[in-house]
Amino acid sequence: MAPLLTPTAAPFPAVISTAARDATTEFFQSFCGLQSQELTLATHDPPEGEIMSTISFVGDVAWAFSMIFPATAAVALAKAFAGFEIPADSADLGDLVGEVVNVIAGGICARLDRHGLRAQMSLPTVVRGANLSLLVPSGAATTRMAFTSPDGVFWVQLVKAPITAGPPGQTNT
Amino acid sequence: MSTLRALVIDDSNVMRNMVMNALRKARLAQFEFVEAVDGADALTKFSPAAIDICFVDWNMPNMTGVEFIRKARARGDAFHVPMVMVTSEQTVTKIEEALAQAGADAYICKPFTHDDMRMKLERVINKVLSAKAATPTKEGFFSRLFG
Repeated sequence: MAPLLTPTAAPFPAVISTAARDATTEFFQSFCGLQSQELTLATHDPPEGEIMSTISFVGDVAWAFSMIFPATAAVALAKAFAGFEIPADSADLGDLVGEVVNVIAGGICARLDRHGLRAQMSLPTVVRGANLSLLVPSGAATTRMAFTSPDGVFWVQLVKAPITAGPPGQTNT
Repeated sequence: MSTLRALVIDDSNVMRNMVMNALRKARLAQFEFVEAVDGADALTKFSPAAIDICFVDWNMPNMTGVEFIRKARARGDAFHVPMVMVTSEQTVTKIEEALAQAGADAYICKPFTHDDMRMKLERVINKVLSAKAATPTKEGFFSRLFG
């Protein structure tokens, strides 16, 4: 499979990627009882994304957090998190994935707050389709993490908005 | 056990069901549920005479949960109705804003279990149940009058 993302020159802020990794792992292990493990992306192709939910953040840094699931993993997640079955073709499955991303985003904000970084999150958006991934603007820093779960591999994508030049004569601070 | 009329406000259908399931499992009271999909919808369904307690998400389209609480409190006749935030917002600033400024009575972070619900709501719900028990009803009045 061809790489979905081209490497970016700008590194993604480590404090945010660490917060996202820790909040994701805690959610799956502590709250869903699912053993998830981070994979090395260099040796694993991203799985086919069929349901993607994204939340964007504003504050000290503008960035976005996406989770991308194959339908089988989302169905298993629904049972573990909500405690009831949600069929793959139900609109509620997208609703559930949006809530999962919302809950994890809350955990990320709390972690960033402890580092003195303010972050205000948006409402989640959910997309269903095939081969989904988040489009990365030119010059944006991005990073990806893949996790195994008992019902398949899912992945997390983080994108930081590029710093745009201000009007002539104005400098960025 | 008395029945409480609970207004559950969340833009996620799945989360409303999770809140209602957790409340049933917590066994603090029996509930009749009214559902609202955002703060604006909740305002049309809320009245202190018809609702005993509200469970309110924070981030919703049209009107946030905190705005709903502020508007409900501003009516002036709903101070006795407990407002419970059920939200993924978990920073100290947000918790203080909801409890100290907007007038929420309890704060539950998502994700939650029915044990979390029981622990955090026992005092609030017992207070509502006591108030309901102390409120004279038409049936109770006639029962006392005629034996």
